[in-house]
Amino acid sequence: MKKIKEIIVASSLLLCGACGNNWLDLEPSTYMPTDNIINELNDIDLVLNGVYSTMQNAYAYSGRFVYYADATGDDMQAAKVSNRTGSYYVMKFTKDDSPSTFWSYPYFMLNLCNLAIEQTDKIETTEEDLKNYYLGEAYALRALFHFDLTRFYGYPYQKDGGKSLGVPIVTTQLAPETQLPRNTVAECYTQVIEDLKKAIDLMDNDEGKAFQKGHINRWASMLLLSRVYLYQGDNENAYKMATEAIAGAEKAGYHLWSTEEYPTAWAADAGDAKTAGEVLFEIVNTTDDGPGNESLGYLHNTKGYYDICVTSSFYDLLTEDPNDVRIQLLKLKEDVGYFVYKYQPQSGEVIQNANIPLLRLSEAYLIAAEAAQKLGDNTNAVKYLNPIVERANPENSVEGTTVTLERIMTERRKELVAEGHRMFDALRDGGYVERIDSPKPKTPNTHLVMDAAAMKFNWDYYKCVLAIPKAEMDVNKSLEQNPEYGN
Amino acid sequence: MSKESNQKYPQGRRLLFSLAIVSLSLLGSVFSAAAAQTGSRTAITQQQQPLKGTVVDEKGEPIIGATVFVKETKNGTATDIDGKFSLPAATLQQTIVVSFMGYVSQEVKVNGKNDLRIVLQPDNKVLEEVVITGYGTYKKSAYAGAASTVKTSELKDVPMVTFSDMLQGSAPGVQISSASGQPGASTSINIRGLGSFNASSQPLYVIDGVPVTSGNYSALDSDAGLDIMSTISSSDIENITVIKDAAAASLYGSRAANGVIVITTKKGKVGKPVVNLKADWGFSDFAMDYRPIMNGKDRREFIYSAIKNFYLGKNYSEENALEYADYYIEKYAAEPWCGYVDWDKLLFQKGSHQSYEVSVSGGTDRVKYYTSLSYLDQEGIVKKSGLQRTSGRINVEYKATDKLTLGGNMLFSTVKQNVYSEGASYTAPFYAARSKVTPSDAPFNEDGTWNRNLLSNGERNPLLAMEYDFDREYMTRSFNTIYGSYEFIPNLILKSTLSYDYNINKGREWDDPHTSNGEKYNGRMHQLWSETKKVVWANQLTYNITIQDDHHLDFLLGYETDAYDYDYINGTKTNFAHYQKNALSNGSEISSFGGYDSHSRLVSYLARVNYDFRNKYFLGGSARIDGSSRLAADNRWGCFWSASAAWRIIEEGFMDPAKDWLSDLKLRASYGVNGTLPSDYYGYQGLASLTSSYMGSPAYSLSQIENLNLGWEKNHNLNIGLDFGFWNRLNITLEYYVRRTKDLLMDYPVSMITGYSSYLRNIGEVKNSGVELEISSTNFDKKDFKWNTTFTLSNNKNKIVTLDGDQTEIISGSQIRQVGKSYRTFYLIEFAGINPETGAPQFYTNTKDDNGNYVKEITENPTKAYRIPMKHAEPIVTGGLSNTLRYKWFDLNFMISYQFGGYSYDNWAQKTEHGGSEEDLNIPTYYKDAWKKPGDITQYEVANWEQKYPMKSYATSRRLHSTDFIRLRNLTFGITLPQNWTKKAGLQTVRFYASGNNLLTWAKWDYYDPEAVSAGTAGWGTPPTKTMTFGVNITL
Repeated sequence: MKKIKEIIVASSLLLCGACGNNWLDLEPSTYMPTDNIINELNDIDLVLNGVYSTMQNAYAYSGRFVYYADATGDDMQAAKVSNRTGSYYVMKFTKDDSPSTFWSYPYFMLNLCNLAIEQTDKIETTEEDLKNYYLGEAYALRALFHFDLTRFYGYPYQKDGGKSLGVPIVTTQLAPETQLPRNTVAECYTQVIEDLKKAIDLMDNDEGKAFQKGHINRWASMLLLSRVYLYQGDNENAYKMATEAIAGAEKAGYHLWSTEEYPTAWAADAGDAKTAGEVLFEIVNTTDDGPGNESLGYLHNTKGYYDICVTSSFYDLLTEDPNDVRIQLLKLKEDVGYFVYKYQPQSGEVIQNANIPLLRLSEAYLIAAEAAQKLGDNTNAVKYLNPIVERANPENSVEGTTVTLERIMTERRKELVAEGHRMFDALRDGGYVERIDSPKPKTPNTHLVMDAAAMKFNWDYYKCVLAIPKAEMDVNKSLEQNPEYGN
Repeated sequence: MSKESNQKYPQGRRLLFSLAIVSLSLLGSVFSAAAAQTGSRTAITQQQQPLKGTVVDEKGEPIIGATVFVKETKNGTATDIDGKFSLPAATLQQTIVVSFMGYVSQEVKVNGKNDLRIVLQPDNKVLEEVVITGYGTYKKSAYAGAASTVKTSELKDVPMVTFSDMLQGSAPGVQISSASGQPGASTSINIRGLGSFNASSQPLYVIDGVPVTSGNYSALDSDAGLDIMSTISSSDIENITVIKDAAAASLYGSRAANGVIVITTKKGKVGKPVVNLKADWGFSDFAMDYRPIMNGKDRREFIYSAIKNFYLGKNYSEENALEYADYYIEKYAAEPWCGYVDWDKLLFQKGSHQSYEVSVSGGTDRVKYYTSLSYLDQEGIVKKSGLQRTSGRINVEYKATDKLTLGGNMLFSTVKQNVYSEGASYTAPFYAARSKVTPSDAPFNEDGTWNRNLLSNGERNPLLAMEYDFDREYMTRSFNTIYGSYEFIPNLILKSTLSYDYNINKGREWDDPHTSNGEKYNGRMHQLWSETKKVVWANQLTYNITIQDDHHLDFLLGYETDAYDYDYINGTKTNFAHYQKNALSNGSEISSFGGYDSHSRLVSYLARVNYDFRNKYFLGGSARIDGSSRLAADNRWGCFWSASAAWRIIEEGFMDPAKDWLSDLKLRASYGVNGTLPSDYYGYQGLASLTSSYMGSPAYSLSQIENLNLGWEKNHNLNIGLDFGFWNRLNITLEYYVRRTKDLLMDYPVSMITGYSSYLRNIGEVKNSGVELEISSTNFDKKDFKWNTTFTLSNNKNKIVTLDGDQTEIISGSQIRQVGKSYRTFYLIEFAGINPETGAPQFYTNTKDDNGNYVKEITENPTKAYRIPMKHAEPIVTGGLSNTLRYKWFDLNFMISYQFGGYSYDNWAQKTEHGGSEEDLNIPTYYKDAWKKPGDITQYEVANWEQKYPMKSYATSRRLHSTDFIRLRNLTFGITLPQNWTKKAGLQTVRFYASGNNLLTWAKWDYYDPEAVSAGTAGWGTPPTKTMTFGVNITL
């Protein structure tokens, strides 16, 4: 009897030392439950930081999204086909290997923007300006991503007035299994313009007008909107918005770099500055969250991968005037080519962590000049072009001349090289990307072997837009692939 | 009566009678005294002179280590190397019991005799394999499930560097693959096919009854990995049982869907201490010529014709074309100042290894112990790579009282691994030697400085990187188990086991200021530190009972908890004062610093009952309920179960006529359900990541979609087995199985416009079915000559049954997951050979006609060709043939393994085909067969600088190659010195051996090693090596 008792007591002690269900409730140390992240205004800032942090990625704005239009244009080229920029340069991608990050990153960030937009309204706060500024940032960024998606996947607006397919517009957080068809390019532009207008309104306060290092503000949003209008062919609005941006930004302390500042400002202003300079919006990279070796800093550097250099034709163009200050940004890598040193590290940092200026006051001048010229307003065209021309070489001036569109576009090429504009600029008004070598190349590099179709193309070339990535096509049955890429 | 007698006998006669009685009784007492005296004299003799005896087998050979004990007193001993034993004095009435594994125990009445000669007869039943499931040990004849046992006693002669070497080819249905042949590299083991896609498809490892951590524990996350099994010395392993069906595996519940590998370490045996010393030395090399490339001269010729052909194609005159070729060839294939360079000689070496082991084991009837210490030092085939291990073990069991047994198993092991990158990084030895660095690249300049201007690699000189940079892994494991069991009444035992598996992993990654990797940082040190703890507490109540002699029942009830904790920290610093002093503290700038912890827990209740009737009919059932922290509260409890039955037909009366030739016939069947947990500890939760930041401020990032319905993968496992035995010599086991794994965990792809690309769901179903055959035969069993042969063959068919019920295919790189097909089915453009007229590659368009058939139209434009599913990675048959021969002093083992019917995709052809696109890389030797003139029939396109559609840019079936091979996995030759020699030196046994691994290989496609393939893809990992070992094994 005693034995049985003994058995029961000992066994039940060991066999039923039951750990309850609660013992099995565990949470990860580096994540929060999604439902629980937004409780106060500061949390919106953290969500926006999530957006900027994603932009930092070398597969997004610290790399691919920027070099894409340079590599596919005619002012820069991959030093070798096997380089990281090589496949873009020779327009190699097919429907099967079209890189997915051009698609996935913007939508990933759009989801965060939409989270911020949806949640901000619910937050009670007395800091109304700050709240509006955050909301404005979210709208402006949402516009930027939709606009870039449209540039990557949709034909230029002016090809057919935006009738062709752009990308699915996403303005709310979507349920996991949502599938949406592509909107037209025109619909995308409408959404982008609407969001930017909202952002500009929301940021019409002290927060939005102030210098916001590494964050988009009112002036950067205006510049972006003027660029959108310009692409659309709406020159009046483009002019209006660009000039407003210039006036507003300069009132807030922004200013064009001087000739003397120019060669080093890329590190000093776009890097270390704590006050307003020329850069309206940049991505700030730091040592502890650097984008790594695939970043623009490393690809454009003779000590990095020296991946993408200027073409011989562009070298000729820029060196037309041997005293152009911008020549000082070119660095020769023996036997390889000339590299553009716009992505310079901040003090104490390595080149991989160079900041990425995305919206620069110079562009606003160039847009104002271009829009004015297209509107037949030579006075203003000269007014806004001249500061750029004079800065490049104080001995030059366009004052008193009638500037042609070509003159302005040439200045734009010289000024904005390596900043992710060229192919879009070349095609947006119906022009061509033309890869021809200088008859007497002064660079070690000449164009590499590629399909003849890629040597000269306009918006009719099917590869001037990317194929929608295969992974997306496989899942989202409501999507239509870009023409001529095949099934 | 006395009156009567008084009356009958007169006084005198009475006296006489009395005297007679007295004298008789006296005589009797003298006799008895004499007898008593003899007895006590015997006793005295025995106290002074112990009882001696010899134990021999049926052939008269001495049996070493047989247990001999006195039945009455339980005092005992063991026989020595001559089979001799001696016991303290025993009385005439005493009985000794002599037993030895594999023989029938004998009771011998001493009866005063000395110098006993005891002949033990082999016990055929006991000689059978034992199946150790971790929850019980069964004779194979009484086991209803499917398990393969690797008896290490048979393998003891084969020097094994890793644990997986022991399994290679020995266990049917077990497939071992490793992406790397680096020492210590992680190994992947699949039992009966691939049963899981996204969760682990690896089996559960159980060591001495305790489920342990397994898999890759590389701190640096190196390409080769560092397998935690490398902490264990294979000499410490007594037995490996691979559980393949549900019968025993279901007791492991939610972790057992992919089988269980049960490892039992050595225990002491009763007897005086046995000291075993073992030492071996050897060297290793590539098992096969691996991805050979053109030498400097051949490469120059190829490129020369490529340039020439380019200009001819542009309508230049032959003369001009040659002029250009002469000019450019010096840019791409010049002979450097030191002559063409063989980078293999610079980056690779002959590997070597040495190991030393000592073990001491023994025991009394109360205490048994086994202790060992071993040291292993391996150098890999890449310079500066290698592995060192020091490992010690103590297994002790102590019988405290008749009822209480206490024990402990302790392992302490440290491993250091010098590892290198096997990916496509510029300075990775294989990528450099086989692609990036050519014979035209000199390692040094003529002035003795490092060449920092390589053709394709630029300043990234791999030899320079090898000289200064390093990647090192350190692992220290302490795996301790203590247990106690208490027998309340006979056969009712409560056992409690507490196990603590503690592992520290460290990694150091140094980029030196001298090298392209570290100069921009002026030195960079990345250091990682992680701690893994696994605490398992298992309690079991078992009871065995026999009712009316015929009914045997055994019961088990259990409760277990398993808690896993992982803690990790890592940091990187740059800018060092001196390159040789690279301690983290010496770096002047922090470039990264981070850490996190993660946890997983499991609570389980289990029960089992086994029944048999007269060892003829067997029935078993088990159930386990698991609760896991990896699933949502409402969904985390799962029940797993099994049922099994066996029928030993041979025991039936009607089989009697056949018994003279048929020694065994058994039919087995089992069915059950077990599971697989998600690999992700928090996979069901909707999560926002906190690890990103911007400008020093924290950030939220939406990273995971919630799925509260997430559950286990459920594996429904049917096994039917048949065992035959003929003449007690030839045994055949046949198994048929069907494994259906349902609710497969899949990263279900969603449209990326949602901001996510996939989430974890229980979607799919996969079926593995197959047969396994094992034939083992004792060809000769003479005193001087023994020869055993074992042949195994297994076939597995893998088939995707459903993906999500919606999608019927998911494309994954070069493979397609298609319903009805094997998981690793390739998906490629079909290559149609080289156009004999132009030398251009051709492809089949494979458009579909109205009937859904592929149209085999030929095109030279691969963008017009459709990819189609073709072939699969999984071999159709695998197996091995092993032979063990022993003649007098000599023994010979060899094992051949083979595999047929599978394919691999050469992933790296995208880098090497046509030597890349710019003529600055290495060119595979097969391009020597490139098309040269019209009419040439070949698989390789013309050499031309400009290729309209470069082969390297398209995933075509030309990269698909058979993985059929036959390999002499092991060959060992040993000499055991005669005992009458060694005895004089005071040694029990001395054996010298020489052994080779992978000495010979036949491969259908031999450009790369068919085993240098992982998940159907051939990468640039280190291939398997060929190893020669020489060793000596001494028992004191």
